[in-house]
Amino acid sequence: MPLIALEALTKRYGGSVTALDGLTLELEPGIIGLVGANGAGKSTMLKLLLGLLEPTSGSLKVLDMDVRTQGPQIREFVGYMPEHDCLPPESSATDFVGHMAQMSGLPRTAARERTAEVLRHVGLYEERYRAIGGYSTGMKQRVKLAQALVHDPRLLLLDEPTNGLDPAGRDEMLDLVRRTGTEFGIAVILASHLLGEIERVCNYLVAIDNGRLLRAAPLGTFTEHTGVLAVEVEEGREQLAGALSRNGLEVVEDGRLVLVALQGEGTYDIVRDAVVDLGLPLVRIEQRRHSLEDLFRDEPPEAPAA
Amino acid sequence: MTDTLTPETTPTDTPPGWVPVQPSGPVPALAVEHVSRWYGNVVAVNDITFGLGPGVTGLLGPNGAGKTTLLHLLAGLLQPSAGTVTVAGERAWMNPPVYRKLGLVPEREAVYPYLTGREFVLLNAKLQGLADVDAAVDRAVLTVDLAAAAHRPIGTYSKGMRQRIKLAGALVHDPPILLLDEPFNGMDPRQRLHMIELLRSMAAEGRTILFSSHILEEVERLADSVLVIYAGRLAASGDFRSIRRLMTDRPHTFTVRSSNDRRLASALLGDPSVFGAELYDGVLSVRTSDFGAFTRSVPRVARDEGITLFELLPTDDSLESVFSYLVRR
Amino acid sequence: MTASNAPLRASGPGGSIYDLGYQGYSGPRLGRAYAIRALFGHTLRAAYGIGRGGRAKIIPFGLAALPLLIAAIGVGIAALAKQAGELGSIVEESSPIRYAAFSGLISTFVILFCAAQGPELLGRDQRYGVLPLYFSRALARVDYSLAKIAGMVTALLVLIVLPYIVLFVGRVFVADSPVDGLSAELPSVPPLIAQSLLTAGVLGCLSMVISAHTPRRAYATVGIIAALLIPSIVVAVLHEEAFGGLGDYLVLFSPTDVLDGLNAALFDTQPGSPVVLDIDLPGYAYLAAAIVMTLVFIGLTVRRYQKISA
Repeated sequence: MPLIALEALTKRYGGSVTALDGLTLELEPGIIGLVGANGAGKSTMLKLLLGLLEPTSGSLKVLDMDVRTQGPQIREFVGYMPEHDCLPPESSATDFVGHMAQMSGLPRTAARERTAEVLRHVGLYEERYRAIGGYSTGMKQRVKLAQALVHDPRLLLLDEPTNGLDPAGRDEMLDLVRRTGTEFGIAVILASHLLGEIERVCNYLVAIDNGRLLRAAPLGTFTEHTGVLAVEVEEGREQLAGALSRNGLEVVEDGRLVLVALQGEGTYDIVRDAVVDLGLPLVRIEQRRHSLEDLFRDEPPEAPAA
Repeated sequence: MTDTLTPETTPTDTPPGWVPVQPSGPVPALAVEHVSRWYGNVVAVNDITFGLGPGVTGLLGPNGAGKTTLLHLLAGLLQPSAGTVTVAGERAWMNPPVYRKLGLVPEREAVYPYLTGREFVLLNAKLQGLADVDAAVDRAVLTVDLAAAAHRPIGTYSKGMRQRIKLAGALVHDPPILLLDEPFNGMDPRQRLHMIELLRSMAAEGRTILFSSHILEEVERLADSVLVIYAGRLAASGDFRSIRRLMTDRPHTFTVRSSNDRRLASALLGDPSVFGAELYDGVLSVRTSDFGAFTRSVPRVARDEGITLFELLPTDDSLESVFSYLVRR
Repeated sequence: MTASNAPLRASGPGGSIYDLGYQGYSGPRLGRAYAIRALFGHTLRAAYGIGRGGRAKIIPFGLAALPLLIAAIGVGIAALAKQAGELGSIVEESSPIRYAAFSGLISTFVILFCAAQGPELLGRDQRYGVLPLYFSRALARVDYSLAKIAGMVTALLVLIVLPYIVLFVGRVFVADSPVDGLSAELPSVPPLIAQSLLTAGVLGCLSMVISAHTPRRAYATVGIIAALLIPSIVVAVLHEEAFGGLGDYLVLFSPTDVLDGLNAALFDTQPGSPVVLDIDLPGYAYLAAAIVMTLVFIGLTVRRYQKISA
């Protein structure tokens, strides 16, 4: 039974804006990244999964339950962390998350216990009795995550969880997300417009472009080797490029890098020897991988024929 | 905080856009000299000095570090509590003619949703007192690729389109200097790529562009050089790789994949530039405190041992690592 | 020997380590009905500022205390009157603090409570964007609306009924004997209950429907007061204009006048509003109007939350 199954799912707003157009897809549990090339596709998708919006046509099943008819049952097992602000400033984290736990059906004592535990897991233990209004952005994001986790969901929907966080906060949040998916054993869907985050944390990607499915595949397939070797030397780039060309390799310069078409394993040694002969400082050798960004480019990045 | 960056050592490659402030040097497009800005007891910007020329510079810092304050000081919207802000040789504060040379794209929603895109840009053009408003507006709208949607109210625009129309408004008077506060906020990958292309091409035309962001992957993509601000102070400036080289107190770590990691590890340990090698989980990590010597040693040692190098990666050479070293002290 | 309710991670003869990592939840999940009850309780407490800190309690408790005070005074008057014999009973007859007139006396407090607390209960969730968090749980949108409405109406009921209880009990004990007292006061109980329920229903649901439509507290408060004041003014002005007999029915659109008429019918007394006195519709008309109004307000509130984007 797949975690999520979409069939010809379409959502139109007001007759003119098509957010999703005939999506058909099956997803297994994992840490799934959701990216939209343009427009509102990913938020719409999350809201449809939660039953906050009605599909215009097509079907959507979560945990083998139909979103149209079994919405409340699905929501018992789904946790949602919205993108925008959603916390009342006068409540404390403990009060608010505890209340939300009860809204998810947890009895009073269990709600209280789970709240304390979950706040500890997201790193908010010390401040949990203070009013949310006094929290920093990072702390508020953690409260949002805590209320999504408190009822032990089987599926967690995160909408831009690192919104507004500085690099340190972003790191911590992404770690937390990764742990949730791996250690806590909860399936995660992470909607983000930052490809770097998705590459770091997710193991599967769903990309939507103008409402249609662009690609849906394990992350590895997007970041495969390209058969191009990227070489970086701290100085003497042009000399190196010249020497490698003379050795019969196809070479292109790209910014600080020298890109070399791989012609079998021998290429590595040719590069190494050229660098040593020229006495150049070698900073980097790596086989270039595709990046998620390539998916969204209008034309592929320059590379020598491989 | 800037003590461990040896000021005497200049980076080997002067990246475009980086013009240090010198009394007899060329006039930089933007110059900031010992500028501070405080609000009562709160010091938002603390004794900052730098100069900028054509190219793209990224302004980085954690939340609350003073990026927006600095941008507003540069735009002539705030008065420095101390020091001077100069734009193309003239004072920025209380000097309306200077606004002709500046375009500011602020972070907050600075647009009226009931105006159409074209009307908003027209408003900016008129406020600038341009002679031929229509041509300027058309050109600006075309530059940001919004000609098709320009007749629609801004309220119907997506987030990315709104950023672009704000940019059009800031471009309409063709300023040589552009200041952008978090321009990629909320943009999807394709919109971001377009905006990056756009800003790059404008910098290539000779404009000075300064944009602030706390999303490092964007800065790494676009900026030729960076200014790092932390707690209101300038923590570092220049090309981030050069900055990293300057951090001599932090050893560099490289990961290596070769045809014989263990033999390579023991051979490398024989080299004086290497002070640590670790083989863990199938990955060879090597630490060095002498970047220059090490980068020459590695291929040489590998060749001498007859070992093929498949991969050599500096692990903390990214903007992200540099940034975290600078702000986590 | 130590023990912990966390699972054991490792244990040996020398010691034990407990696993403090994330644990799943395998306890009971009580579903929609429980969530509705919990939200109702939460709303009722919030109406009185309980769990919100001292400042939030001032208005609701203050407004609730005043009617109690009046009731206490009423009991005091009854007690004194008892002792004063003949003269006393004349005074007592003309005392304004009687069941029949009580709702008129405290109407200001009730209305202020609605205007102040209604927006508190519904405005906050709208203003701070908390609604998506509610609607993404097992709670349906209609559950949310109904639980909130029930909370407010119950809060009002408490406000209205407590003083009646004070008055009732006081008068029972002031009488010659409790049995006499009870038989004297008991007949008043059914109309008291009816009147309390309908007042709480009409005014509570009115404050809810207006609060539901705006997140801004000031607008909602003014809106509630306006919704009570303006119809009654309009009715007072218009009912004399020649609409024929139909003009009389206009009064059924003004909540305050309807409640006034209802009160008069239940306690067989003079209505406070001159318009109602003038028009003299049968009690059933007011009863029907009160019920219909309440249902309409509930319906509009539910509809608002069905449509609100979250």
